[in-house]
Amino acid sequence: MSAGADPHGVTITVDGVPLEAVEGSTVMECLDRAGWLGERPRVPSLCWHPALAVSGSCRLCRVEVEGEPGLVAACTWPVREGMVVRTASERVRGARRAVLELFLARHPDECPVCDRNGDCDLQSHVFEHGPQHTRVAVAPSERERRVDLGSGLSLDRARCVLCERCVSFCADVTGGRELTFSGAGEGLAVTLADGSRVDGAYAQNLVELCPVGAITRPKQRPPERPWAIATTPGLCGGCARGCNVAVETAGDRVLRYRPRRNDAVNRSWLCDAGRLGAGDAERPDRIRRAGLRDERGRLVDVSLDEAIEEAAGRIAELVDAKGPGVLAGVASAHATNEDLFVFRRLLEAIGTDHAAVAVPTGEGDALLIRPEKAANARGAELLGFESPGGLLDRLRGGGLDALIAMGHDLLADDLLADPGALDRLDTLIVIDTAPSAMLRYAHVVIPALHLLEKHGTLTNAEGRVQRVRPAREPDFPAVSEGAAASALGELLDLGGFAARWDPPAVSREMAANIPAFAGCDLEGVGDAGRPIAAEGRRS
Amino acid sequence: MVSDLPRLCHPGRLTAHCGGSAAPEGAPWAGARRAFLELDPEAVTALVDESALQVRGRWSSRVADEWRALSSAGARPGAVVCHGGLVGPGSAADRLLVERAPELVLAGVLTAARAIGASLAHVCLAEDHAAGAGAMTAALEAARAAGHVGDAAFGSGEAVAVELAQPPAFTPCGGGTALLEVLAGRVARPRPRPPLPSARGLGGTPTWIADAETCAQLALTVANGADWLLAQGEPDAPGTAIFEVRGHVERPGLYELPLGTRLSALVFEHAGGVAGGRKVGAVLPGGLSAGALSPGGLDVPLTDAALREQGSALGRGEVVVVDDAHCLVGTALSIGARFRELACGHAVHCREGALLVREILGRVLAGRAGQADLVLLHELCDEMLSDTHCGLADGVAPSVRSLALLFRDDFESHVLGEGCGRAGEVRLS
Repeated sequence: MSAGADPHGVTITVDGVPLEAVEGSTVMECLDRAGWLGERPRVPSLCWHPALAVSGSCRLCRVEVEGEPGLVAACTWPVREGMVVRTASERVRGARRAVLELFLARHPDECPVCDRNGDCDLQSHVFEHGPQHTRVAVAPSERERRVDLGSGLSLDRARCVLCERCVSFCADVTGGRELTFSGAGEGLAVTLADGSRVDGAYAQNLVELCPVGAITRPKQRPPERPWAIATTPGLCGGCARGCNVAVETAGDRVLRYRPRRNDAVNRSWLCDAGRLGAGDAERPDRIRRAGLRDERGRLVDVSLDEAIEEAAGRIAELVDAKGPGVLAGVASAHATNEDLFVFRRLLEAIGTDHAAVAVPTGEGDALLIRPEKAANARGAELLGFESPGGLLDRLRGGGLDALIAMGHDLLADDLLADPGALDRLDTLIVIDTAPSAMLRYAHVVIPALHLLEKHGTLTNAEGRVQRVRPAREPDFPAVSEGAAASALGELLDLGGFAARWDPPAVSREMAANIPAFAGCDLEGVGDAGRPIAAEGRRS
Repeated sequence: MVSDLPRLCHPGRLTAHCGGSAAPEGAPWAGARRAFLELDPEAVTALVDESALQVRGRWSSRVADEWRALSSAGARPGAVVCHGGLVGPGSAADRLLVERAPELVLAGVLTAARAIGASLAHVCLAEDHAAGAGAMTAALEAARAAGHVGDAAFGSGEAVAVELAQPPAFTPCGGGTALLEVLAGRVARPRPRPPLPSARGLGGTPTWIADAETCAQLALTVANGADWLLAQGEPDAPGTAIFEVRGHVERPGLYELPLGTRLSALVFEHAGGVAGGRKVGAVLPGGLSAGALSPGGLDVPLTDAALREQGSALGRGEVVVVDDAHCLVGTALSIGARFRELACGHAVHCREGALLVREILGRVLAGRAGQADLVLLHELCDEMLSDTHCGLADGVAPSVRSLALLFRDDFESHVLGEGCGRAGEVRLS
């Protein structure tokens, strides 16, 4: 059998199917690469994890390899050209049953009160592979049931299957080494290292890492039964890493973010701060109504269409009177590539070059957290939005009469440091999800869709274009920034702007017109995203 | 120094170095000196190859073959790791040598380092083995002062550093990988294999792991030549071994005898037979981790190959004799209890499997078990034997399973609720 085109590749046969594998990798890695370890994994395991060191302790992944007298653990067994693997023979299934029986012997029978009921690897494996009943039940061990680990996490040692994932995560991923083992034999237990508590920016990952309900958040029980939860693949908007998340919803309620595996971006992790973003779309102070400033200076509710028409009217009047140079646009680094592409085109079509973006910044770290605190800072830059220094100077110097501001508080962080500059504007159009100090000076307010409510793409700091999909719908009329820009362009009769917002079409247009985005439209980037074209990358 | 070692009842060529009346053959450092000053590494390996010296506990494996495997691993071998009697079955012989003949053990370690080209060696003793640590520390300091260890071992151009380590008491489970974990500053637990330590061991380099007895045998073999080793024992199992006889015999203790000595001779002649004039109930010739033999099956040579034909193994030289006054279900339960003290618990078979075996045996002994429990007991033992993660979990299974098979009537009598009428548990540790 030939090794194929890849000089470091080998071909192995698993259950009669030829699979490509990387030389030096294990059988498990090969199955993972082939996508066979997803929902109903071809080979079960409790300890193996794609982003952690191999433990080899659960013994569930044993398979038959032709020529080997005994079963071998798929997680440690290296692939070899021509190797023949069987994952479902009677012998393999018998071993699985036997090992699961061992795991169940002391495991507390308390699934109904366990946070992970319905979302538990041990439960799934038993459902799938048996045994159907327990032949010998040993009294559940008297191991400690509630060990406070810190960061709101609790460890139940009776439920623990000693898979080593949490210990490994603290040792190798975050480097905090807060967890270790104590005791031996049946008394072996996961324990806090001397004087430590689990802390740091990634502690909550331990809950998902745990294959059973041993590590939980006692003060934050699951919001719903697992089968009542819908999941939408999404992206965390907290920083420019673009961590892949599973957005969990029940109806239009966003329950939580969980990390979604993407080995090129966030492996299987999500920072604790990012998780808080799940509540963002439902914040009580969201801008829920379009508004116009009346003669007495009050913001009055109007329909979305009225607000957009008023905005278009003001722009047309101003440009007619003073020319396009007095108008500027400031974009949000939280908006999608599609939003920004259309907004940039609108500004171009009106005839102004004043297009800026201000990216909020903060602390970063070496694992995931980026200093740019917006999901699409890189996309805004690639789409021609400049840093806001010049625009702010003009604003302060009275050189502008109109500003279209998307999701941006220019008064925050002392960016502008001069509310008077906004007060002097003839027209301030604010398109945003949440109120800011700028609303006081706005003439037109348009409620925007949240990232959790949009179709589109984002470009992370490393230049990977990734897709977002709506996970909920707002219960009030709102538009994405791009849709507002498109509607303005159409009302201003600038040509090429559609009245109806069609993200896939806009995305295709962007990919066709901006070289960096070639092939990166929302349908082209796939589930794992796609790096921007070479010419768009930073040198 | 207080020592809890069993009595050395029958010294031999090796244990003569442990301070007995017999004059030892050769000075302790002679083999290592010869390896560094008179022979090159290939010649050392060739000599050891000719002697057919085997590794204690891995009897099917010859020392010279293991060394050759190391050098074919692709990277330069980095270390020798010698465990001088941690805890667990058969550790008394190693502890004896470490306490009473530390120079000989060190000489073997240096000889191995010379043969494989390693410049680093670790001697690992159990944390609570104070007597051993004292003796080994003194010997190591003297060896450094004499220039046997260090930048120019024995005045040769070769540098060999030897470090003493005292990991927490545990067995060298997982084929030595747990020991390597401890030496690397991690939790003592077996690591998945492959890779084997011989390919990627300490610091990622090929590493040879052996016990003190093998190292001591090695030192004397290189000092005295291959024929010296071959002069005793069997052609395929040359030399002597230190057997630790325990249980219900008149004279429990350590016996150094040629490999191939009959088990019956060891038990009845050397160890004085069963204590109190009773009869043999069962013998576990390979300690707690090998199959049991019935009283009629003791006329067998003490070599690994011969014992394997009888469904047992030589193990690490621990021979356990149970008299006919004791219940064999109780014996099996005692074995389970002993493993409870030894298991690190990281792999599920070792942790939950051994627990279940004990649970079932406890029910059988108490007359609370049914036939289905015996079936489950066999299934459990089979499952534990089928997995090779660690080598310890599959340690409890052969002895328990063989007892349940050989002494089926005893087990059945308990299941039927009558009991065998004999004493329950056996003191094994």
